[in-house]
Amino acid sequence: MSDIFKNTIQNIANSQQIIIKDSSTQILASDLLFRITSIIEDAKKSMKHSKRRKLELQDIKTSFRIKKIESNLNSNFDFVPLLTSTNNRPLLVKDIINEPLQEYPIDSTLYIHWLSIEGVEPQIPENPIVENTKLQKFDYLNRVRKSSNIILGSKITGDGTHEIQVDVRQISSHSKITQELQILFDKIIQTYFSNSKEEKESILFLLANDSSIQPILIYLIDFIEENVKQNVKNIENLYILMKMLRSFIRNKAIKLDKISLRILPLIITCLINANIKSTKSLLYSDFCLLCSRTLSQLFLSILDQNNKIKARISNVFLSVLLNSHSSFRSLYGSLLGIASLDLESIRLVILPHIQILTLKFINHYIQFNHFNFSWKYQAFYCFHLLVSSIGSYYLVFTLDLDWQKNSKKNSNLKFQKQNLLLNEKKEIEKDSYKNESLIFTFLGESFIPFFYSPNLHLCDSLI
Amino acid sequence: MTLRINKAIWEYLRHNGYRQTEKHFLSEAQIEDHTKELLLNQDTDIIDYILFSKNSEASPETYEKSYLELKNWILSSLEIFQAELFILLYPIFVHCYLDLIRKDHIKEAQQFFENNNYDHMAFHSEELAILKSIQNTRHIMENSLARNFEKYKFNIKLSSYSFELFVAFLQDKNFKLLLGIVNQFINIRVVDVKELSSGRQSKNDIEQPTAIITGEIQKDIDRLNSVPVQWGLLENCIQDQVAEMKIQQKFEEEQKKLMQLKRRKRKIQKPTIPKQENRIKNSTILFPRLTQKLEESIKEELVQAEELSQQNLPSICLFTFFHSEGKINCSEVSAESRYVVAGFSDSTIRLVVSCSQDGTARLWSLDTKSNLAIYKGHNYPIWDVQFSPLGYHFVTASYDQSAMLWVTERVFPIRVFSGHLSDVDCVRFHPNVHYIATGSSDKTVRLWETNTANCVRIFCSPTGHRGGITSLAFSPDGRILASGSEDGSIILWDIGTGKIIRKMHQHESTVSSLDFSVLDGNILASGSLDNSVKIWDANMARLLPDSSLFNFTSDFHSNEKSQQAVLLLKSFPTKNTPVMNIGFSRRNILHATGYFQTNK
Repeated sequence: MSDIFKNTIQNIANSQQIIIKDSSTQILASDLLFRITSIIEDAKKSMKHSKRRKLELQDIKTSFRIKKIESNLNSNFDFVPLLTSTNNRPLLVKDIINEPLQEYPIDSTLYIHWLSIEGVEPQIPENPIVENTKLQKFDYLNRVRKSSNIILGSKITGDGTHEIQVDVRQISSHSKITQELQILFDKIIQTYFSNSKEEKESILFLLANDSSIQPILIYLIDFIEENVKQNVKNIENLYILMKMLRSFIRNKAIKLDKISLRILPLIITCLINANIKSTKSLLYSDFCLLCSRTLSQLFLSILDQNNKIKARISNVFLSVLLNSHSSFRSLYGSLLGIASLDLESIRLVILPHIQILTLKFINHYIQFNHFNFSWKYQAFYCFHLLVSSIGSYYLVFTLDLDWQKNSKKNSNLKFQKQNLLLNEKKEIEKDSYKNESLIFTFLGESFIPFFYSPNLHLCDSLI
Repeated sequence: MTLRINKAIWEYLRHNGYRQTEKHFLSEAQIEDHTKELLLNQDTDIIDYILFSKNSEASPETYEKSYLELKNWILSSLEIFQAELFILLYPIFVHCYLDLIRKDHIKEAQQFFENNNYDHMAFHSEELAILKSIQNTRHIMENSLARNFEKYKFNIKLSSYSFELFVAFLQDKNFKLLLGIVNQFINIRVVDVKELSSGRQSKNDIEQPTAIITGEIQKDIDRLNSVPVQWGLLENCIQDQVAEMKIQQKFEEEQKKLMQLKRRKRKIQKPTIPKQENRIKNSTILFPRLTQKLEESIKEELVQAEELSQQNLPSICLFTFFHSEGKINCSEVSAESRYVVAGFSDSTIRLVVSCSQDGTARLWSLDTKSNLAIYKGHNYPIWDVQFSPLGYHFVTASYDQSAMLWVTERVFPIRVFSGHLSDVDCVRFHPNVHYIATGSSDKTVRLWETNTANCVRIFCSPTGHRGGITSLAFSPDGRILASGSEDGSIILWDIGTGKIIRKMHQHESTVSSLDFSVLDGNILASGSLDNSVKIWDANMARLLPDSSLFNFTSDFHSNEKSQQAVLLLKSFPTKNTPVMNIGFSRRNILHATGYFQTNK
């Protein structure tokens, strides 16, 4: 730093035709550095007291005044550009006159609005849009705190705002819960907001094994529903919420029944959502996998017989797949979703559209000049998933055939039923053979390795 | 000490064989035979240091060498002691650097600074920037920060075990140099482990403590803080009268209800007002009484004030100044919400005492909109001014490291409060007028007695503020002092004991203003330059058991952050308006002012 000052001092001395020794410029330069720092230090104080974060010329002026130095800074200094003559060109008066005028300073005006009305931030254009999940955390906790007071019989002071009333109705519409359960519920929610992993795991274990959560189940689903809506972009929070849902499904001591119909849309939104992005600690694909497993588990354990729902869900996924505007994330998610339903839906939904889908992915993948590389990779991942899901379909088929051979040897009665089923499948095979040959002609030999790729765990719940 | 020096001189004379001089010295210093023995028995360490230090210190390399060795030793020590011992490193770094400059090893000093300043960047970046600019001995004399380092000792609390470790290390390696610095510039107080951990709020509190300079030795601070302070309100003050009126009102309402229900037989007893503790009976400060009319109107408004609590958050009214970025300096809304006052940088006050950088305070009349009086006393800019809650007195805080008390009738100050080591940035009256709190850039808060101008409390802690104090607020019951800092932290201090109650660190930028809600004091509001207003539960902060107790009662809140989350009731972000000032009106509506920032 002091080297710069050294040159400056030398230049100034030269212009005044004073000869200064090199050693003395060194001393002058170091002193200058000290003076300037102390002036800026005082200017910073002035800035601080004006509650600004930007140092301005007036602060330097104040600093001069503190140091009792007569400043040469003109009051109009703000409007005159600093004149530097580096290229020895004489500055013309014309240049200064012809310069565009500074904007005329506008007089300050005062505007008053409500930032909060009894603790609630009104959604008016003057206030920022609340999107930050951090804020909502506290908000939610507060509301839970308030509503818990109602349940426990204590009063709310003052007249409740509209928002509070909504809460009251939501909870009072269900049966009352005991104080112990209230504490448990609070604890579960607290752990969701806390950062400790161990606590979270212990809570997940509790949700998966304890029968006592049955009465508060509906509140927990309320809570999860609200948070899935709020945390659309926060993958880590969604991951924990999804884990909570999965532990509900795993829990054999509680009955989900109708509530499972409320869980379904949550999982589907998570799968189709295009806004989720992977973080350092959590990959998007892992999250999708968890969602798909939760979905398949839900169908295996609870909604097994319900083919109507299955058809409706696969239709939702199909509409996403065929939509030309949907992003690769939602394509990936919906492919996984279909694969997690069962083989039947793979056959019904994916196989007929295989050509369109492959074209969609391959086009993105093959275009080397594509400006967006991440798209290319996403396309590749989608394609990989597509092929491996079809692969798993055929793999199961071949496995079944092997099994059939073995069963013929045993010729047990038990397997006769199975044989009937397999015969049905043979017919299906004939239908799909066309599709298969189509894929082969389309992709050639490069397709084969994908067939038995290790990514088959996607459908392991089916096998 | 003289004994030791005498011994050193005597030893030196004997060592070099100056027999004659020795004789003269012994007779002149009046050292007799029995004292000779006493002298000889003393440990030789310090004497050696005094005798030979000058020769050994000559080489500038030893500074860096010994500093690095100390650093390595601290880093390799056990984790429990690391945090404690690390505090020592910064003072030693500073004094090594200043010593080198003092001895004219400028280049070596700069080299030393460049090599090692990263160790302390995290906590002391501002001080380092100033230190870096110091180039020779004269600069040390001129710079106030360096002068403070020279003049005053660092206060450090160490547990007895880590202190022993440290001393053993210094003696082991024969670090005379470091021993000298520690001896001269650091005041180490050996304390119990319990006391050491009481400053921290929980086990998980990993905040690195720092060394503090206040100008006093730690022992003196502790003694000062143990003197009792009358923090109670004045007897029969407005607050009490209002409380009485409120109870009366409730009583009358209930009676009316009973009348309507026609149950005259049942009578309800009139509730008595709970007696407040710690009231000051005979005020020693004289001030003129408020006019009847004014007092009535204040009371009326206070009675109507809404009671705020956890469930009942305040309404916030935001006053935004447009087109004022860089022009506006300060602003305030009057307690009865009639006037908004703003100070502009072109020395105009738009629509009251004002303070100015020209070292004067001016009294303005709201009725005639004109300047009534000019008060000159400070030679340097005045940063803050405040009227006492009862009017008449006002106090100013200035760049010249002092605060002054004035009365409106006289143009000279009647009390001067000096003791801070840096600028006094903000100043507040205690609700009972008997005390004044000042916050300074030296990161400490002091409480002064108005009458005697003596300092009665120094609020500082190794885990205290990391930046200068920018805002202060007293709770309405006079028991708690809240302070906000440049680093965005807010600390609640107990005036009775002078200790930290709670530290809240959620703001990202300077806390520009703090205020407690009127009458009940349940809510603490803070405005910050990070474009937000935050509402804290002051009652909860008071009630939550601090330190170790907390961990046993429930592991639920063991996390420091979740504790803060409980305290933080709500945060209100503004669109792009740094909040300059906030204040509760007498009806408990929160007024916030700020200027709109344009993004460029």
